[in-house]
Amino acid sequence: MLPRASWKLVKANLHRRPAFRVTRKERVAIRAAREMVLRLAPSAAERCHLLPISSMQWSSVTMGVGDESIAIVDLEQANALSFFMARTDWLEHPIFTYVEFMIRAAEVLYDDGDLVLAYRVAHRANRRLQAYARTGTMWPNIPRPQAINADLPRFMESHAVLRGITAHELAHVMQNIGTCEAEPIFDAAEEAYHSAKYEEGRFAEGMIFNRYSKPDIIQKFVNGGFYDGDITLGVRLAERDNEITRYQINEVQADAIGLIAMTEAAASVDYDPEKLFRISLSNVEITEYLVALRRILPRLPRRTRDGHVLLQDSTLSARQSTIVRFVQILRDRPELAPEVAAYWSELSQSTIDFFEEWIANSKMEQIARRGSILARGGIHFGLAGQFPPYPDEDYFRQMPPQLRGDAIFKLAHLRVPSNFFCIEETYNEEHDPNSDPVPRGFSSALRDLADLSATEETLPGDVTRTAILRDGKDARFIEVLRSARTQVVNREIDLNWSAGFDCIFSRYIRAI
Amino acid sequence: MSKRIIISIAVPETDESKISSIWRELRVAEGLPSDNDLGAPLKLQNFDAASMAQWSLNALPVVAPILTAIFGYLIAARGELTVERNGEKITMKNLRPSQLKQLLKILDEVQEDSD
Repeated sequence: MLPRASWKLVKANLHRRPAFRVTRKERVAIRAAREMVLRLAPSAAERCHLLPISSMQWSSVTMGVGDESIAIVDLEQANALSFFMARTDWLEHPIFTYVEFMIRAAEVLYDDGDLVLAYRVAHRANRRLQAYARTGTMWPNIPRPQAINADLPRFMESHAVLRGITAHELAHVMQNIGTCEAEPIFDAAEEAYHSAKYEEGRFAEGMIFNRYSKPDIIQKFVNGGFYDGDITLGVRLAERDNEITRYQINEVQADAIGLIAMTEAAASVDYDPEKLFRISLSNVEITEYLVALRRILPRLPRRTRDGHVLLQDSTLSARQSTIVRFVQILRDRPELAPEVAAYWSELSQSTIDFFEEWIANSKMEQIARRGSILARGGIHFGLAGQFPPYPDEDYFRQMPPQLRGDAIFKLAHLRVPSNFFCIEETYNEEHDPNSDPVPRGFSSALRDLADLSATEETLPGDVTRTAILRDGKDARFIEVLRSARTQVVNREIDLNWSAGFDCIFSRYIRAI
Repeated sequence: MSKRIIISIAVPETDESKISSIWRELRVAEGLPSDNDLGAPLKLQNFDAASMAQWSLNALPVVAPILTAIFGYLIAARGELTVERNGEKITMKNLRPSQLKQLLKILDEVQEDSD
């Protein structure tokens, strides 16, 4: 139970609009995760509070004042993560992940008071979905081929993702209040983190190659969205190295605890360790896309195509490498987490070796970078409409080695094919067994979001909630924002999706 | 229905003590008593990153000039500002100088409500 003083604090400071209700099964899952964490650190029970919510910001947060800390677990974050995980597992078309990213953006915008932009985002998503459905043969049916496997529903039933997120947030609470009992696991995670951080034996005039961090990059657009180059904040990276390292270590330690909770859930439904291993890696990537979406949305230029957009590198490389090494440690030292050691001992060594190979040849790092590259590509495409030609080899060759890597990273998005950003180019694609729908949905959504934000005339608060209330509630409007998702679930286009709200917003929508 | 307006300001944790002391200077310059200082902040750690220090205040007319004056610092510190009134909420996340007009409009309404 949350103490009264903490409740008041949360109510005054959380500022969130509810999304759905927390169900009984979800509460049971959350409680299971909490129990697991407290088994690891019994002394934290008194000061370690947990509050499940379901909000339109779909992001968990830890709140602390003085000695007390509350982990506020947002179920919508778990739902978003599960949704994308399912799309990936069943090899679905990127239009569906595109729609989901757009809806998530619309929810945050609405919650921030940005009603017109939220509506326009939903409108664009619906238009794209309709265009996709038209390429099928059974309009208004939405073609939705899926590579169904029966394991996924079992995995979802175990609420493994929710338990993992809950444990992750509680681990942050433990970091804040400082508990000794979880130290062995925290130390093991940190050890795993450091062991893969630097490329061994690779130097260039005294520099050591760090796999985990790249500099922040600012993209510049002028004169109506023309690309004006990028700024790489390399010195700032050096200045903030300690801060970044500490942040990354906090994240991987929390990931370790989250992984143990997820493993317990998966073990309870006999979920294959080979799959759980890969899912853990993929889930961190999906989380980073959600993180990137939250960070980028407020930074997109507004009412103009011009501006400077700052993009931080993600922590994905650190997190994925650490997970691989940490699982190895769980196998080698079963006393660390005995309840899950048996489960992980069934993972084949060759699977771990496969990813170890990727760490060693830096392929893991390269793949981890693609989120940042896709993000910048999406923003660039959305604002400028096209890419400039990629520089030739001499441009890079004339740079000193320390700068070359960053320059290649900075311009990497210019080589990404346009069907990563233009969802309309994907409608007629054959179903691809190697489909990776989440990255493409992400970058396509960003391109539309950049475009919509740049052409948005209103400011948050220009149209208030009173304008969209029906029977004193905003529930119907929120349903409209989410209607593309409902149509996807029902596999049928609803041309009436805007439920009459278009009268209010039609003046803001330009016919294209 | 309560006409209370709550304004929250948030800055990265690393800027916490700086903004507290700037606020105090502004408070003194305005000649207000010390119970208008920022108290202990709330530490917020969102899953999408930096730890923030957040304060929530009732938007009283006495506080309005200080909020306006500290807006520049909030921008420089990459802070956030949230205004909540009667269930209506506006969050300004990527603060820019051009948003000062918006803030002043909100604070004007605060003034009107209390008159």
